[in-house]
Amino acid sequence: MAAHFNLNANSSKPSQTIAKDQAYQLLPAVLLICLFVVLPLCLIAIFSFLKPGTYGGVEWVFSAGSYVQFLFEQDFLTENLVFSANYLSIFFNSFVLAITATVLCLIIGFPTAYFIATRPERTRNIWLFAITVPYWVNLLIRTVAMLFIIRDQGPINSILIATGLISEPIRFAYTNFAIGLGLFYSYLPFMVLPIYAAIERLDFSLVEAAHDLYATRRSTLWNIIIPVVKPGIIAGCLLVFIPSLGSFIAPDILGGGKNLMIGNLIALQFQGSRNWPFGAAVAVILLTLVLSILLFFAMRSAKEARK
Amino acid sequence: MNAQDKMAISIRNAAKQFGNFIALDNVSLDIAPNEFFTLLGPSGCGKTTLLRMIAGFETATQGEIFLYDEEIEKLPANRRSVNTVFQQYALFPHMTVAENVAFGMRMLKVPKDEITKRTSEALSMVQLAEFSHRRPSQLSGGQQQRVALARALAPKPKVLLLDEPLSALDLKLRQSMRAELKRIQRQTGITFVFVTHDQEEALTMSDRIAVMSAGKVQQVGTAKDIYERPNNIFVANFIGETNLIEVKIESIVKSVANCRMFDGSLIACTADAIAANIKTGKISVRPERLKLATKSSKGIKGVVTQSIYLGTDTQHIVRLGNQTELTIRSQNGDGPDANYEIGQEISVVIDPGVARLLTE
Repeated sequence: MAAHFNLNANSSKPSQTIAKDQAYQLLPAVLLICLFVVLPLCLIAIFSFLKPGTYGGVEWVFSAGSYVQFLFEQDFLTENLVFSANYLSIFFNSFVLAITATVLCLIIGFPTAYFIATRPERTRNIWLFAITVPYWVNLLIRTVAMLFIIRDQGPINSILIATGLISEPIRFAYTNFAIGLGLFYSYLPFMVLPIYAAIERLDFSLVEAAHDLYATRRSTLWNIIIPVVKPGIIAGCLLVFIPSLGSFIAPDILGGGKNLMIGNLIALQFQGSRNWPFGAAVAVILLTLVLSILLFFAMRSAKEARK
Repeated sequence: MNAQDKMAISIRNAAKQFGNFIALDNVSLDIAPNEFFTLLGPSGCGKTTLLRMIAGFETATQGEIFLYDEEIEKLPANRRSVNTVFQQYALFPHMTVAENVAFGMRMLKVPKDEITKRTSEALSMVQLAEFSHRRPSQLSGGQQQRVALARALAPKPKVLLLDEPLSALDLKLRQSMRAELKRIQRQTGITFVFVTHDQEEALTMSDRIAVMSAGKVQQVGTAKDIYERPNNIFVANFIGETNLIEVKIESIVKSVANCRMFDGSLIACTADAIAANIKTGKISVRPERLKLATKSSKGIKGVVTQSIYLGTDTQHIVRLGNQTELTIRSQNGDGPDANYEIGQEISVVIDPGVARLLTE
């Protein structure tokens, strides 16, 4: 599937058969993936159809209860199943946050990528390097630092109060806004880099040709640049959206644990609630959704390539 | 050309500097309406810079550019009624051929049905009507070239700029595209400004040619003017082949110079391109204008060092007494073959009025 999100807009996709001796070169990677990706995924899928053990773990008895629990609640008195949107709303909230982060990353990342890609060749690497500098610091530390900056007693509120603009601190921390900000900041480079790669490969004589054919700067951007670098934009959006959706640290720290995202919900089931099958079921649902999104874009880009 | 006529393009004292490099040095040019005008020169001579300045992709360091008397130097590219055919075509890869051709008109907000009509007109003019729904990547180089041409012509620009449009094509295609470009230029009546480093291209297609070198225009004229009456040694050397012989100038009267050759003989040559106070120069004679004769004839003495049969012509190379080598080309016809053997001592005859006195 990855080939369809290839950053190269003009790449052809030759189907090459792998020679035998080349297969041996792949073997270690394939073994690793089987052991640490395929096997755990299978376990998760199986666990999601089992009964929870009393002290965590699972009982090896088939049950679709976890999936039922995702959508329904058992009434205490009548023991009837009643539809409950609690978990759906967490999913919905997560999607809104992930989309917000993606849009923010795109709005900030596209001009940044364009700026870097249009620098002279020798300064480009310095700019790219500068983009990666903050990511030398551990994500957890960066997220905590952000919390310190936006909290009620943090510098932003202090300055605003000191200048007399506000009298009471604005509540940034522990809100959805804080989570969105954290996600945006965590994943910005994943937006910048693929778009940069696409723009860097863009033939700028196309831009000249558009100007020559009476296009203003704005219509050149919409009619020529964005369509041509679209594969890069899609790749960037997916690279931000997917990890944002399952993000765990930002909502935990910046949301103060009360604004749950899917990632926290899953973590909670494996830790506090000790309901492994339910956690597994949520993970499977998330995975299915993400794969559907990927499949949709893959099919669309394949269709466009055929045109 | 009448002085009162509006020029299609008028360039006044245009200069362009990139850092310390002078790409264009005080260039002034007039290009008449409906003209096929060629900027010819070696790479780095400033011809592409000049074209890009007319298109609006480069700003002039100084000078003015007029398009039908309207000063356009300060206008951005999208507000100049000139279109460019790019060297690498620069077709929009995500659009079909028809969408590419329609793009300029779409940006000019031409009504939809007129866009459709003019798009198919432009495509049939370049014989690509049946390819309108293809993507550029599904076309051959020659076809892409013609799409680029149709795209630039469709908005009906006042002037069409062509930046070495044929250089990426193979020889056969290049030759047929020359004829096609010329036909389209006559058919549309649009002024063409064509940039090339290929003198054959320039000579076969152009109404007038500007020969450029080192950021300067060396000479402007018809193909015949430039070939037969070059202004200086650069032009004589760059256009076609020529033989250059150093001479001392004895006198110049009414554009005819009396020059003394290394062997002491005197020769009369045209000197309309020469300043009056110059003492030495070179005479330029085209290989086909020189004649070979037997040793006893009157002429400059030399020895044949090479004789090459070229089908229509035979080419001899003759070394003169001062080690200068001359190329002489004589047509092979019905008459006695002018075939001289290597090592043979002969005379080279320069007919009166054939030699042209030039300086650098």
